[in-house]
Amino acid sequence: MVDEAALVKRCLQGDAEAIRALVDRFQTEVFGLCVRLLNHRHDAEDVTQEVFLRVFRSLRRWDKTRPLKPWIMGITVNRCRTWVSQRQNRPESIEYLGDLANDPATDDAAELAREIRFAVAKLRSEYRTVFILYHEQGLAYEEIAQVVKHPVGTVKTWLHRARLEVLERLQHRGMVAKDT
Amino acid sequence: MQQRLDGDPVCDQDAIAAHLLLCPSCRAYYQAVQLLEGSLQEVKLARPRPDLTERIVAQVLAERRHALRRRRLAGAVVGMAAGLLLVIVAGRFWPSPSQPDSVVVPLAKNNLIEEERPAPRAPAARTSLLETGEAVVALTRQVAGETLGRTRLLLSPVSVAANLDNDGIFADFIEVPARSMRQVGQGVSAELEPVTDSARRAIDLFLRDLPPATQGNQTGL
Repeated sequence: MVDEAALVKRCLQGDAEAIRALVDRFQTEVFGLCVRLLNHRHDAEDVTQEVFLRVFRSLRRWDKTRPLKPWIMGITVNRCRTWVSQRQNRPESIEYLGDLANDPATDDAAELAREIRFAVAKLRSEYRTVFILYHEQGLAYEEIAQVVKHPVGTVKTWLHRARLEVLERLQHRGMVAKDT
Repeated sequence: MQQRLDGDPVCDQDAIAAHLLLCPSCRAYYQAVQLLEGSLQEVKLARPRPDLTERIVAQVLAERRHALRRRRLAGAVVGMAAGLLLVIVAGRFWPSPSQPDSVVVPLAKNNLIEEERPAPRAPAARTSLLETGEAVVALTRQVAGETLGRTRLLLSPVSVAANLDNDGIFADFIEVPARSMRQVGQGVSAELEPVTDSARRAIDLFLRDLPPATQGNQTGL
């Protein structure tokens, strides 16, 4: 936290190296979340850029007693939500599938991972957000609650339902046995 | 079971284990979620293009410079407006340096007291300047008029004085250079004021001593 506070202070003073360090630290997670929520790589780059502009515009309002990552993820989720509401629903992008082509399913585990990603992409927005923040970003329940601005109990419920829906789809696709 | 899946400490691990042995649906769910979590570790986070960082940093710095420029411009405009307002207010309400007016109020025939009026509010700077200018012009006209008048007075006795053999004194002034009448009058008036006064007194005495019949035929005075 002290390290983050010092970095933020330098960013507010206009230190270009500090700004670059902050972007480097969170860029991959922000971009990864944008890709999963928007299902479109090019849009994800645009939104990532927009997220960091907003982060630096409102950096003074960050609470130093709290970690920086949930705050930035919250901005990311909001921007993605706005982006989605401003455009028509796009089908899953070929560009997105192109990422998978570079990493072909060579074995059952990889194929299962790909099926999980497709199943997660089909989830409703809030379930998908919570699922990705927990399983991919590694945030705790309290941090996810801060990001999505809902109570911890609601976050747990959404995560449970997201898991059930993903499992149902995997079972439907034959990736997981229905009953063991 | 949710807590166990989340890795949180669970109160009764034995009870959960016993239930999983007995309940097929819970067992299936538990095993599927474990499989899911294991598979998710294989999911790689999508990586952005390498130049995205530099693009973002460049845009952030450009926006910051633009915001600073806007703040400085706004500050300059506000400062100028405040200064202008201050000058206008100061010019309007700055007190006049002149002494308060004194007004003589007759209290009785021989007892006069002076009553001070409060100093009038200083007019605006522009109005003061205009009034001052007008006063100067009026005063100049008055002085020029008086000077011309005195010059005319001076010129009249010249015709009389010429008979009194005083050509030498006035001949220099009859030779008028190419200047305005006002300048000539001012110069003549300034230089000959004591002379004109003496001449007037002399002529008055002369006219007083003349007999009545001769006085009726006097001209030019």
